[in-house]
Amino acid sequence: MTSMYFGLLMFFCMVPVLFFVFISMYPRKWENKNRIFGVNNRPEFNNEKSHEFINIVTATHRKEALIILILLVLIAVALLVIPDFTTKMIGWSVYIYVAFFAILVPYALGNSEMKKYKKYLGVISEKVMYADLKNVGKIHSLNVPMLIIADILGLFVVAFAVLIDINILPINLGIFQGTFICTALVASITVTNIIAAPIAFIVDNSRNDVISENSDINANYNRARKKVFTDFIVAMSWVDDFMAAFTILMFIFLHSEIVMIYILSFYLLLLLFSVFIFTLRKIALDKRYLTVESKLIEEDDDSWILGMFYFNPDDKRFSVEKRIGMGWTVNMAHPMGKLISVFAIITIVASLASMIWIGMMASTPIDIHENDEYIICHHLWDEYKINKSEIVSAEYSDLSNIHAVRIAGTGMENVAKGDFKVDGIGKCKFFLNPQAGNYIKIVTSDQIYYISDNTEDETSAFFKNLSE
Amino acid sequence: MIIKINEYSDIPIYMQIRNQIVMGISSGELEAGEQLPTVRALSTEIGINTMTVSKAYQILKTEGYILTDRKNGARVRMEMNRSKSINNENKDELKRIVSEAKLSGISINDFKKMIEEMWGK
Repeated sequence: MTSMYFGLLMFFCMVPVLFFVFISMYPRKWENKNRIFGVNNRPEFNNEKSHEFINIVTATHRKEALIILILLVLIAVALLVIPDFTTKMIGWSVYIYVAFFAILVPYALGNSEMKKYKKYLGVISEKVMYADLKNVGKIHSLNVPMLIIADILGLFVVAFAVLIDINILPINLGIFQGTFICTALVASITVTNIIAAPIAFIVDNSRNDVISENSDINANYNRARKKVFTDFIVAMSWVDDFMAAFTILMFIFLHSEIVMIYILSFYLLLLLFSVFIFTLRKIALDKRYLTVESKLIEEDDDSWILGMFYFNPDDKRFSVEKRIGMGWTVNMAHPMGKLISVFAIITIVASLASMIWIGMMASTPIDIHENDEYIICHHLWDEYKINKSEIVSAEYSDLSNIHAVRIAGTGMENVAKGDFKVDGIGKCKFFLNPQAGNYIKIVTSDQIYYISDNTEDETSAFFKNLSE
Repeated sequence: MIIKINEYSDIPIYMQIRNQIVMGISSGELEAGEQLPTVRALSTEIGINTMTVSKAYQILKTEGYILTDRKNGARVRMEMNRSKSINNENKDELKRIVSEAKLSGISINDFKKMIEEMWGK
């Protein structure tokens, strides 16, 4: 049930996003767009020969992108039918990277062709920058009090969760009490506020685009442009606070793990909805202000690697507005930009490595065996040794009789190992395969263990040997 | 007022800033007493080093076009020093432009008209 629910959630989040990426990056008509595959639409492109060439380039790459999109949707459908949750989770995680990479390939190819065509036409990049002196440093749209209040409120909500978890407030979280799961979830929601706040300030203080000779038009455009983005961040900060408070309520009134999946789903839907509203506002803004005729062209096409990554050592700015998608990106030639780029690469590599790790955990069966002195539980690099002489009691039972919550360790469909809190007992050590159905509960002088072998029969046989 | 910076130009960026501010004052786009952006804000806006903008402002101050102080930042001077003459460097530049105009075959009347238009602007 969880696996199906997770799959549907990912499907309905990913597929519309991919469709949106396709529509926004591969428009049917390029003539009224400011950029073609990240290259400025120039007056030189308006003659018949150029028109014909660009028509071919855009149509070819649009077709390629459409084929990729159809394939990606088919893969997404295939991912829906994977029954195993862990495999499905790994599949979707890899899918996210593959999908965004694949859908951008035709765009990168188009960018390369357009740059070559520009060279062929003899258009030289002059690296011209415009600044509207009357507006420099004066255009701001960030609602600072609303952002600060939202951030402070978020911290209060986290503090409230901590106070509940450490039993200072007399509120019962049931089995979650003292596990800090509620605090961790609330903190992970509100921590985005702390990350988003500096971004909002950077955007609010970012340079103003010059789209017209008229300073008032420039001022209005930049105010609106910054407002769309900063409003989004402020709104998301309030949404985060609401979600964090809602999470605590869910933990208080529904003492169940399914709570986390509901919260995550609801949060994702809210996020998707907010991005949708943000996008609509951005499109309306660009439609109103950015026409090919009015735009003063800043010649920095060559600074945009593949039309996506900004690398300009002559530009001292840390962040610039994106050419594709929404929001701002870093200047990869800026020292801070280099650091963030390295961090992003490490994050991607680490998350792919963690997928391999999870895959290995899911595919390696757990094993319990014994020698004269110890019961040895072994799985990958983890090994628990239970000294037989310290065993006080051992019993064999059905897993459906216990209700446990993970505190630290691994909790997958076929592997549960680490520290768990068992309803009515407290903190215990787990080393079992939940799919085996049964477990052996071993009580020693200082610890309670719940262990199993990889199957019910193996567990039963092991218990028989142990009893003898 | 829009200033245009060309990174590939032979003219240094600080001179491009200086020249365009002078042209802005002359054309009335920048009014007497008008506040100019701070060095930091303008350098962030154009994406150049603060020292470059600072140098441009320093020249403008030395030439008497702007006033700077810690409290109010940079402002266009209310009253310019009107020496009623142009310096030798500009004279040489003017000489070069007139020579090129003559060689291009433009009539003196058309050239004067052009100057008058620019003067009026």
